[in-house]
Amino acid sequence: MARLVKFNIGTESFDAAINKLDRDKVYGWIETVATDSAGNTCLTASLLNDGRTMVGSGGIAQKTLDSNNVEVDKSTLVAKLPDMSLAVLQPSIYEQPVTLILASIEDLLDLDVTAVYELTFDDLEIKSKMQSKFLGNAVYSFPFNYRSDYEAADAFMLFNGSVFFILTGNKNQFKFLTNEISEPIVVEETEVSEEELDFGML
Amino acid sequence: MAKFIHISDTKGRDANVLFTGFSKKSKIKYFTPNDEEVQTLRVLKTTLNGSYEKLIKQCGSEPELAKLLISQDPEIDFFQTGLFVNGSTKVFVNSDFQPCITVNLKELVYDVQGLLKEERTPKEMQGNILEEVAIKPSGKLFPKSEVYAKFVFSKKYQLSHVNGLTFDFLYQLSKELDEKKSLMLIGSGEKGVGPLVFQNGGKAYRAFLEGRIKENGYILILHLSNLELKSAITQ
Repeated sequence: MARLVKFNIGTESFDAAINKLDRDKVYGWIETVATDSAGNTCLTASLLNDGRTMVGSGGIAQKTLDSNNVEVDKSTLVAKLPDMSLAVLQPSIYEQPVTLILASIEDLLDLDVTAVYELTFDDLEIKSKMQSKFLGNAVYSFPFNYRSDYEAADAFMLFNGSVFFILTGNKNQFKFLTNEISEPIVVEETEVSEEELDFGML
Repeated sequence: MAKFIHISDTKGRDANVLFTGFSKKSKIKYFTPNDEEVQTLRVLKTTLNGSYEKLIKQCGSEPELAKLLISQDPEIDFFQTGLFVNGSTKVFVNSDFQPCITVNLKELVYDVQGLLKEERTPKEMQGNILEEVAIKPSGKLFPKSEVYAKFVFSKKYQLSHVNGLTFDFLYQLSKELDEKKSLMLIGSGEKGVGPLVFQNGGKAYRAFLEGRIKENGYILILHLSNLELKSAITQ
């Protein structure tokens, strides 16, 4: 049975499972196969910048190092905010109820979407009750952490008439752009005789 | 970093304007218990000579490979393991783990059920946002009250003017869209319905323009999508 997330809208709670949606599940997928001149399948590798060292899949690791380039055990690290205060771990959406806050469509349109989840319900009655909260194109926002983390993604929940979706990502702060000219330039007509236009001095 | 895009408006006027993407950087920094900031670097674990693929081919079986790993540590290159990696290029190697000089590429297209639909030669997408012919609005409007539940807008760029003339051009375009409370499909080709590709070899996206107006200011956003909001479960 899928793990359920508890969503709170106002005083009501709704339990639903979330399922990741991507292009592969909607349109299928493409695999690229490389073959050599004899028709044998090729493997991919990485050629390092020295121009001679080749590395196979999994041959490079990301390591966390201190200033002496000594590997550090990640479990000992301390997370801090820019003001050097300690960062607080935000819980996963599975760990505690998620409170949904009414948002605008423009707020949703500001979101760079990085992941999409489709909601499924064990009990269709819960779904129909939840639908009543999404009348009039209502959308809701909430902080999203699939796993507990120090930073939460921005997330929105919407209903498209048959399915509930969660869109997660980063909400952009777009700024209104203005023209930086303080006043329009007024061109006044002046009387200039043609004799004043000395072409000889050019 | 801002780049140029060649765009025309609904009246057929065109201009080169700037577009800017936004990326959110993490605010969190990690420190050791001694309050020393840490860094994350790419480190070489093993070269192709020490890879599982090469060693299993050399040994013939996993029990033999296990014996070799215990007796000789072939997975470790004592001269190179642990070096920092600051850049690499993708290469194809043949079954002898030598670089291929000639490679034939083929795309296998699978449907949602995982059935092979088509085999085809890959075609590199050519960037089309700075062509001689500007990308243009298709005239097809999607009300905001509907579009938010139709497409997944995975990327956004804000368009900005480069001078007074392009300010007026973009302001008017934003105003038109703001008044219609709609996003307009914009694209390549004669009808403006073709996908946009931002760089050679890049992905193709459907693009939608959204305009917002406040006093003398405007926001013109190019929303990019390559996914519709459709249920994958009912399919």
